[in-house]
Formats: sequence, C-alpha cells, structure tokens
Amino acid sequence: MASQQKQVSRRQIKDWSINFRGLQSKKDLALPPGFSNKGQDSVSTADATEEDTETLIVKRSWDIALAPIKQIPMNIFIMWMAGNTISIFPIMMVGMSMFRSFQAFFQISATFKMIEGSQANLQKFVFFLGNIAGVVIAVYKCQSMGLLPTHASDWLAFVEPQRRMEFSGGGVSLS
Amino acid sequence: MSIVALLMLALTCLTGSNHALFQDQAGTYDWRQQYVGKVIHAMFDQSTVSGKRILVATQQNVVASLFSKNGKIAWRQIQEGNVQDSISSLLHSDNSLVSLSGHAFLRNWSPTSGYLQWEVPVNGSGKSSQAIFIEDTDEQIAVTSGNTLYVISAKTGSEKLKQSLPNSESTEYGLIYSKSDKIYLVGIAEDQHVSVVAYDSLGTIQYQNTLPAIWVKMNSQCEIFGDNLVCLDTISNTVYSTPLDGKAFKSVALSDFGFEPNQPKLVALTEDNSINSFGIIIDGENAAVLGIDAAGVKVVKDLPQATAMQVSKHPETQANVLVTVGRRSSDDIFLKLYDLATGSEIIDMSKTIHVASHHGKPQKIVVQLVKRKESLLNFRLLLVSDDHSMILLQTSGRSVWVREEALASVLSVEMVDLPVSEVQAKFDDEFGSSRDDIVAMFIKRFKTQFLQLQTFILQLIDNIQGHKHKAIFTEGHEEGDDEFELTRDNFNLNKIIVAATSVGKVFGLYSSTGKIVWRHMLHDVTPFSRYGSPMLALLVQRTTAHFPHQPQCVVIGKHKVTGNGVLSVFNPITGVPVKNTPSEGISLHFQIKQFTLLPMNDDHFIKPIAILDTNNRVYLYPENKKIMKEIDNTMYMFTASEDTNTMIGYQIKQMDDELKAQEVWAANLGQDNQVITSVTAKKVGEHVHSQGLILADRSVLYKYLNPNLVAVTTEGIDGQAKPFINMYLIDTVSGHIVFSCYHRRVHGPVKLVHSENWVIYSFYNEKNRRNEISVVEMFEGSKQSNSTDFSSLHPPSPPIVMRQAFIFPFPLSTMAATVTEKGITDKHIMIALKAGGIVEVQRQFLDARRPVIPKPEHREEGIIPYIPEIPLSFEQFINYNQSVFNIRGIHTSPSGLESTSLMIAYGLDIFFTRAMPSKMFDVLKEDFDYFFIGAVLSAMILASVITKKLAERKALYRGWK
Repeated sequence: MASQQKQVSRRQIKDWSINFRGLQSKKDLALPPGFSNKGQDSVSTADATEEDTETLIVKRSWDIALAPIKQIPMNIFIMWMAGNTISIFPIMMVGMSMFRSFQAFFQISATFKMIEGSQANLQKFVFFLGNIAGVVIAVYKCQSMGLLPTHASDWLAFVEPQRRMEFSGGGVSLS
Repeated sequence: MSIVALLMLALTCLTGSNHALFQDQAGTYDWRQQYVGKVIHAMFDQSTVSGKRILVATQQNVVASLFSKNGKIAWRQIQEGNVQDSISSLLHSDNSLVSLSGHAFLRNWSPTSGYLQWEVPVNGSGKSSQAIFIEDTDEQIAVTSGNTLYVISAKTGSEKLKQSLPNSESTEYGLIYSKSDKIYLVGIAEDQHVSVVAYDSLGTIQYQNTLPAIWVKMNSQCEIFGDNLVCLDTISNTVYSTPLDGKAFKSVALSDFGFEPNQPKLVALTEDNSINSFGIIIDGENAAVLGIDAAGVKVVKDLPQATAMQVSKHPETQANVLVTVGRRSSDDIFLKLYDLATGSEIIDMSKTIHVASHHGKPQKIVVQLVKRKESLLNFRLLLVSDDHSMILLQTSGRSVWVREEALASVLSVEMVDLPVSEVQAKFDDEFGSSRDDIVAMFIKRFKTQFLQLQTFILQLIDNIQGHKHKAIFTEGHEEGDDEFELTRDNFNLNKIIVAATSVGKVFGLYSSTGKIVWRHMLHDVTPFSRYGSPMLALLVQRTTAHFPHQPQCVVIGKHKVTGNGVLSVFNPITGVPVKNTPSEGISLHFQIKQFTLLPMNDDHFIKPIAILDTNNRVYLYPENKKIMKEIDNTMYMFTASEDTNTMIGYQIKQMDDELKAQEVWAANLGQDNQVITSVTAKKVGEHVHSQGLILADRSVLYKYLNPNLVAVTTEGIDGQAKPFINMYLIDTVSGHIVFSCYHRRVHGPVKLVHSENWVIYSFYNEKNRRNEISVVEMFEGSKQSNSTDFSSLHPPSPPIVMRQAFIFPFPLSTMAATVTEKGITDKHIMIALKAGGIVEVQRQFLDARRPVIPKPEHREEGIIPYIPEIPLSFEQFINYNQSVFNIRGIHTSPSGLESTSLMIAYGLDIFFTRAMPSKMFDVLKEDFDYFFIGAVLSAMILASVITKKLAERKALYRGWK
C-alpha cells in the first residue's frame, strides 16, 4: 500500500513539473503576485530529483521484483513447521502458497506495468523466477506430503485387468 | 512390549470391522432350514400319545423325531461319520429308541426328548450288522456286528453277553433273529455257504448248520421273514428260501411266477419281520407279495404298479392288512388295502391321491391304522418317494405336510438375479428401440411414467397400511399358497437360488425367505462321481441381464441307465425347461468326460458349454459355428484322472466342422502312490478390481493373476508310513507347474479356496494334532511384464510366492471366499465348522505377508504381525445360534450392492445370509435420521430465504433514511 501511495505522489510531482515547464516557455506573462524567482532554482532541483526518481523507480521496481523471493525463506520455514502429515492446516498452507504463486502469475501483466525503469526486463525476469520458485516449493511440499500422483500406485486404479489370450477349463475326469 | 501393544491395537481395530448382528436383526435377512435326509427307517412313535410323532432314521446318519401334525422336527440327533446308510437298525418300544449305527455304536435315545440314554460300542470288523429286540421281552437287545454277538439290556445298556461267532474270519454274520428264547444268527461266506447259528440266552450254541450256497455274495439280499431265511440272487433272479433250521435252500426263479424281473428287491412288510410273507419289487414298476410255507415260496398277491407296501395290524380284528401304493398317473398315486390272509381288497379304503409328479414313485411307506368312530378304519401314511420327500397322507387323501428332504443333499447351487419389474422392463424397452418416431416415443414415455407413478402410489399406500409383513418360512407347504411377485428389488439383494440335488431334483428357492418357488424332477439323471462323492453340475448360461431374453441355466448329469450325459436346460426363474428341450433333459449320445462354460456369448447372449467326450471330441451346446471358429486353437481343456492320477491338457482344434481335443501335455502326479484329492480352478468370471498391492513406499506389488491356474492337491504316505500332502499350482494351458509345496506329516481332507492371486487350504497336522490353514500368495513383482494381455504360452517370469501357515482352532468342513460385483470390497473367508458354526475370517488374518518381525512399513500397510493362531471371536460366527451341520459347500454370490455378498451354506441344513466384508460402505446406516437431517436442511433453507427478505427490507429502509 505504502509503495503505491509513493508511486502516486511521484507521478503527481512529475505532472506538476511538466506544467511548470510549460509555464517557463511563456516568459512574457507577468509573474503572479507573490511568485519569487526562487522558483527558477526549484527547476534546477527538479532536474536533480529527476535522476533521483529514476533510481527510486528502479529501487521500487526491484522491491516489487524481489518480493516473491523474499517470501521464500518464510514459506520454507512454515512448510517445514507444518510437517508432512496430511491434515487440514498443512494442506491449507500448501494450498495458500500455491494459490498465491498462481495468483501472481495471473496478475503478472498488471505487475509488469508497475515495473519501470532501465532494469525492467531483468526485474520482470526476477519477479517471474521468484514466483516460479514459490510454485516449485509448493509442489515439492505436495510431493513430500504425497499429494502428487507420481507413484505407480497412484495409477493402479486405472490399470485394466489383463486380457486372456487363451481359455481353459476342466477338472476331474467324470467317466 | 511395544509389539504386543501394536498387536492389540491392530486386533481391536480389525475386529471392530467385524460387525456383529443385533438381537433384533436375527432372522431378518438370514434363514436356516433343517432337514433329516432320506428316510430309511421310520415308525410312528408309541411312547407318548400314539402317532403324535414319527421317528425316523436316515441315510445321512440322523435319528430324528418329527411332529406328525406339521412335519416339523421335534428333535434331531446327528451321528458322527459320513458313511451313508450306516444306520442299520432302528428299534422302538415304549420308552426307548435304539439305533445301531456305523457298526460302532448302539445308542438308546429317549423318544420324547431325543436325549441319549446310553450308548454301547459294538465294534466289529464286519460290514453288516443288525440289532433286534429279543422276542417277548423287549428288555434285551441282541446285536450282531458281523463277527460278534452282543446281548444288551435295553434299560441300562449293560452288556449281558458278548460272544464271538464261529468261523467269523470267513463268515460275516449280518442277520439276527430271535424266537422262543433262541437267538438265530445268519452268516454269509461269499461263494460258499450260508451258516445258521442259534444261541440260548446264556451264550451256548444250541444249533449250528451250514447250508451250501455257491451263489451267495456279500451284497446278496438276505432277510429273515418269520422263521424263514430268504435270499434273492439278482444275477439269476432266483429266490432261495429255507426254514431257519432247514437243511438246504429251496430255489424258485422269479420268472417261474410269470414275472419279468429287472433288478428285483426284497421288501420287508413289517419292521420286525415277524410274518411269513415278504414283498418283492420286481422291476421298479411292479411288485408282488410272496409267502413262504413248507412247500417253498409262492405268490400271495400280485401287485402291478405298486412300488411300496407295508403290513399293518387292523386295530380291531388284529388281522394283517397289506397297504400298497404306486403311481397311477403323472399326478396321482393309488392306495390299495388288502387283507393279507385272504388276499381280498378292502375296496372302501382304496383311493387315488394327488401327489405331484415331481415326487416320483413311492419308495417306502409307513402306515398306522386307527379305528375311529362309526367303525371306520382311518389311517395315517408316511410316504417316502423317489425324490426323498416325505409326505404324510390322511384318510381323506389330503397331504398334511411335505418335507422336501432332497434339499439335504444339495450338490450345487447358483444364484440368479430376479427379472426387473414390468414397468422397469418397459422403461428399458423404450431406450432399447430406436425405430419409433417421436410421437410414439413420447406416448410410450408418458405411459411408462404414469405406470411408475401408479405403482409408486400403490406401494406408498401399502407401506402406510403396513401390509408388508414378511412371509415366515414354513417347512414344506405343498403348492406355494400365496403367490409373491418375483421382481428385483432396488439393490438386487433378493435372488432365486437354484439348487441341484443328488436325486436329480432341481429347486428354485426365493433367497429372502427360503421358500420353494419351483421344483423340477429329472427322473433319469444321476450325479457324476468325483472323489467318491456325487457331483452334479449347475451352470448359468445366460443371466437375467439380457432382457427380453430369459435367463438360462443348465444341469449336467449322467443318465441313470446308459451313463451318457444329460443336459437339462431351464429358465431358473420359473424352472420351466427351455422351449424345444425335453423336460427330462437332453440325452446326449456320448459319455461326458469334462465340460466347461465358455467365456464368450453367442448372438443370443448364451454362453455355450464345451463338452469333452470320452473319444476326445468336443461338442458345443448350443452349437455355434462362429464360436467354434473363435475357440479354435485358443481353447484348452484339462482332465485329472482319479484312476491314474495324471493330468492331461488338451488343445481344442477345429477339424472339418467338428472340434477335437488334442493332447498337448500330461503331468503324472501319482508318483509315490499319491492320489489327486482336489482340483480347484478360480471362479469363472471373477472380477479382480485391483491389479496389485500398494506397499508402504507407494510402489506397487503386482498380483500374479493367471486365469488358467488351477490348484491341485495330492495326498500320499511316505516311506516312514507318515502321510503327506502336495499342493501344485498348474497352468492348465501349458502344463507348467508354477509352484508346488510339500507338507509333511499332515493329512486331509484338504479344503481349498482359490481366488485372485492366492490359495488358502486347510489340512490336519498329524504331528501337532491340530487343524492348520496354509496361505499361498503369488506376485509378479513391482513391474508387470505385460499390462494388457495374459498369455500362458508366453508367461511372465515365475511369480514371487509368499506363504504362511496358521493354526485354526476348530475342525472345519468347508471353506469359501466372498465375492462381490466389482471385487472392490475385501474378501472374507467363510469357514464352516464341524461343530455347526460358520465363521467369517478376514483375509488380513489369512495373509501370507504377515511378518514375524513387524516393521513400521508393515504397520503403515496395515499388515498384522504374524501370530500362529487365527483368533476367532463370537461376532465372527455369522450364523449365531443357528447351527448347521454336515456342511458340504458354501456358495457365494454378488448382489447389486458392492459391499454385500450373498452366502448360502448347504449340507444337511441350509443357511443363507448376507455378508458385508467391508461393512456397508455404500449404504446409509439403518439408523440414519432422515427426518432430522431433512428437517434441519429445510429449516436452513427457510431461514436463509427469510433472512434474505429481512436484509432486503432493512437495506430499503436504510436507503430511505
């Protein structure tokens, strides 16, 4: 939430500066009352913050990109604590982490829109990797809990009875 | 300690799944029928009110007392041993009923209660024995046991005299007679002579004589009638007679009397043989009464068509009245009474009585003549017929009751689904045809649904009125009086039980009550002999599933006279022979060596039977060219010879329009004097749901499911004169012995269950003197070599065999495994105990994988650690207090519910019940509270509707604020 607010305010700053630039081009107009020339400085400071914002954007983007990876140790810890027995809480936890990772994948385009800056591609990739790692961990957990049909026994119910190639019958001779 | 705890836990968990019956459930879906068997001796009870009860001794070694009012058993005593016809004498006077059985015991029963008053062992080496009351006293009983004479007090059973008989090593004394303080014994020395010895009461020989008789055989029919000895030689059809103190036999050929004898039979006219006449059945159709006087044997009365007779004392005049019965037409028998002295018919007593044709000819009668008011003679007549049935007839000609004793000798059983109801059938019909146009189909649909609604309402009314009380089984009511509709129930739990009996009578029983729905007598059919016991095959060729085709069953036996095969094809629901087949069955022109039901259907959904004759030709019934081609080269048959103890495998080949069996393998199992004692294949059409077992590491142990495998057991005596058993598992296509094992110092009888990938068999361990059950299981391993096909000619690698043996705490008589529709449910083993119980043992206990040292993974798999004993709890006795005896077989059948298997145990008694091996997992519990749950659900729905309304209203108000 906090990051979103910051983002919004940064955008507003940007808008303002653009407006002021527009004003600068029209110098023939009288300065509004109470307007000091210090504003000129502020233009120069605006130039300085532009670079600053850029780094900020990159930083923020990194924050977004690294968020899934940061969650991984926590996830691992929780899953380790949950144990391998199949009961409602471990299943809920595994389900949640799975669900979150998948949700992230579904919203990946929206998240990618937020990631801007020079390193955007790398960040997008890292974000993607982080989520993949989350899914992998959840799947691994499922596997260790035995929820994945990876053994021959899981497919036993679908094994058809063998077809008889020969038929035979008989018994003790009756005459 | 931990192992014990684990074990206890496992046991309590498992025994928990064995649900017991509640008291109010007893008899709701199980029933028992008790029988006595084929009557060989019968008499009216004289101890209480005369004639209130009938005392019988039967071929099945049973002594019983029946109420003459309704035919129910007053008491019944089953004697040990399975020797047929071993009750040689039954004597009755006031307060004692003495039976001589098995040449081993003379027993005195209380006629009123059936309690054993005393028993005396009368051991004799002989094969024949007889007991009589010593004349005029009724207090002493004289018994011959072949080579020894005993005189025993009837009151106490104390031995008064024991005397070895002269020349007893060559002479067999099978007849005894008492007259004026003398006891006469008649012995037979085969092909030589007949000896007569007379003793006085002190045991000194009073008279001894040998009569030359080169014609005499051990099984010659010899009887003492009055003071005369009569022998019938069935080879020359000659009657030999002599007074007991005579010097030589007088002979007369039966043909001299103008008879045309065919296997004639002597018939005693009274129980004590005290009169000088006797009956003779000349050819199974006609009879005569012959008398003996000084000149020899003469005809007293010729009795055409009569097949059973008895002499009874006239209650008033004390004259001997001869009562004869015979079959007049297919539906009637006649009854004729004669004065024996004059030979004149008592005309006003003769009558024709309706006795249904399926009872066959009368075989034996017991008559009681009573004088009633108006000086009219009344009688009560117990009629034993060809089909072993007992019918009590009254003077009016009405049959008071019928006991179908053939059901005591059931040989094979099948359960057939009932047809669906008419409405359901129409419904099926609707979806069956696609020729109709839309309007016609709509009308049809409308009609059937209207009918359904109608029946539903009728049922509802019925239910509300509470008319649905259960028909209680009443033993033997001729012609089913109340017709009940034979339609399938929702879960297909009620079926028709088709039972083929050793007399050739086939019954259809309604499985929910045990009532006889139909019966059909095959007069010419006699069972095959297999391991010395009779065998009659019953196969289901078409089930009820193929509407509108009727189901079809077939009984395979052999012809009484020719020995050729006989097939009786009938509809199992009605018992009516299939169209175009004779009701006596189709007589084949060859002897049957083996037969098998083919697994494929013909165009009419009939599974043909392949019959192998003695010339190795194979016939199909019904004949079908297409199937002939289909089975060519892929069909195999095998026979196991009881004489040579060899197994021979045949491949069936088509050769110019006929099928021939070509020998492909032979296995001699008779080495070291072994005898093949059982050959058991798997049940035809058995469903195996799971192809493997899941191990603790979640890998699969695939079952070795060879459909062509049979289990063969042989028994023999080894070099140290100790018995042993071999069990072979033989692939009958290739002749390959897949597995064999050898048990030392054990003997049979081996009872074997063969199903899926396991074999369970029981035997008696002579060394430890206990019954043991051995389990053999076969697995293919963690990989299936071929997951789609199984070919015995390209077999998978030899199976992994696991085996284990357990101690079974009781002697058992037979075993069977439960079967269910899809094979998902666990299999339990039904074990019939000799003591009368039927125990349901879980397969978990009879598991070859039970480990001696349990590991955690075993616990995870739920395998119980090995303990030698199989624990039996009372809950496992599925027949609770309804003991059943001499059980010969248990038949199990699937029902419409996967959880439920139907079971019928048959022997002397019949017991039917349902078994739920994995509990009722597919049915809501009986105590499921439909009302409560329904009420809660509807209350919730109502509440949600109301709250929704309220919420809307509140939101509206808020909006206006």
